[in-house]
Amino acid sequence: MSEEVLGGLETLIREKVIYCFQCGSCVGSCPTARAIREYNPRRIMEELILGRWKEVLSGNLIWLCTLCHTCYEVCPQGVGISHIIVELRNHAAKMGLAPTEYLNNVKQVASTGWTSPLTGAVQRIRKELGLPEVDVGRVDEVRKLMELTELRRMMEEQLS
Amino acid sequence: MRYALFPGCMIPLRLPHIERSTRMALEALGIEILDMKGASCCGEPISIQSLDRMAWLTLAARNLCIAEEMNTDILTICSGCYETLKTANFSLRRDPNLRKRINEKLSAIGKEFKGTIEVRNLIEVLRNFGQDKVKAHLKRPLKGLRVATHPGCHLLRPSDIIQFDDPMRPVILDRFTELLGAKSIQYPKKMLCCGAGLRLVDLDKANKLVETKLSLIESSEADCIVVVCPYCMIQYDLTQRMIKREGKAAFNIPVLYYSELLSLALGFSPSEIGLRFHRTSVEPLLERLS
Repeated sequence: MSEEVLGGLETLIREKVIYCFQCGSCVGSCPTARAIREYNPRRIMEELILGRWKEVLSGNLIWLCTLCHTCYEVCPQGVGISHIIVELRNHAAKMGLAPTEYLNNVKQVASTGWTSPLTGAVQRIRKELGLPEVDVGRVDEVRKLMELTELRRMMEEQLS
Repeated sequence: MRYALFPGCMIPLRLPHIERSTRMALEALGIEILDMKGASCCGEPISIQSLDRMAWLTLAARNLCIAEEMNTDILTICSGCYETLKTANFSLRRDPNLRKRINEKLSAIGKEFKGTIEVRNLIEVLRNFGQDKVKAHLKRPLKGLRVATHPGCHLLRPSDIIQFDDPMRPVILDRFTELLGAKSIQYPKKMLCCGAGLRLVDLDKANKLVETKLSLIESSEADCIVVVCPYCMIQYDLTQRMIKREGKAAFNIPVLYYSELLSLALGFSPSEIGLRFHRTSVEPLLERLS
């Protein structure tokens, strides 16, 4: 595990996760936990506090959160669980563990500026509905900004 | 009143009929809409936020800069874009270090975030316009219609950033549904996520969540579901047809985006606003209204 990821995780746990007192309000209100028995945000916080970071980052559970932010609202300790999940995903992605589906979305944005392709069918429907053409004008600016962030390296390493 | 319209990706490229009804309804109310030249994907709250939060905020800030140059507040009709643009606007205003780091990147494309505009959602724009004024424009109030509203997640949460309505017991969408003459009904698990955020990594489980919601809404004898997010729209409208085709369950609940319900109450015809492009038939609803 890189020094950078390790340092970031230590700060995250020391400043936020450590306040979790394991009440389980998060899992009780979690939509993913309803659908997937193995998903349990309380347990993820517990694993972090117990130092089992490697298992958390390399497992697939952190990618199952819908980011509905219900746990963020109901947590009595203000841990900010859904934002912790985002930070864990950011760390895992830096380690080359991002799901391909996510990277493909980024690739689509880099290619047209939007997450969905501009198909002939959609262009016809837009015309039929009297809507203006979709703007694909400044995708160069989007690409330029992406190159200044971690996204560039992630795409180069994982999608090549 | 005028706003810079930020329709996002999913509405213009997958659900253009929603853009159509939004533009028509706002025009009928006399709310001016400007297009944002050179705008792109908001920043993408699921994949890009999850991979690199800094990239997410940077792409969002570029879009905010375009509206700042227009000196106009943004109206976004996608809750994902709303969360993204609102979070970037909030965080860059509050955190000078973050703002400096992002402005360094933006300087590469000749832009600078200044923090001079606000980000609004559709219901918020209508609220600021005035409930009474909306009501005065209605030509065909939706009397007797039973509506199950689904406010969704990112219209409301995280509430310390969004600051729009109560994050767990919201009332504003219901109030604006009843303003149109309809009845906003209560149903169990109203605040449960539609599951769209799971679609990318586990489509079966995403569908399981929306099936739970559909069956609870069906039991509540709603005439339709009303949403304010295109991803929720896809979950309810498209998935409903998918699970019917697969023979898992047979729901027939029309799903409308709020601007479509508003357009009907303003007197537009179903064909003018493109209701034929829905995946789950809206016929039962239209029969109910005739």
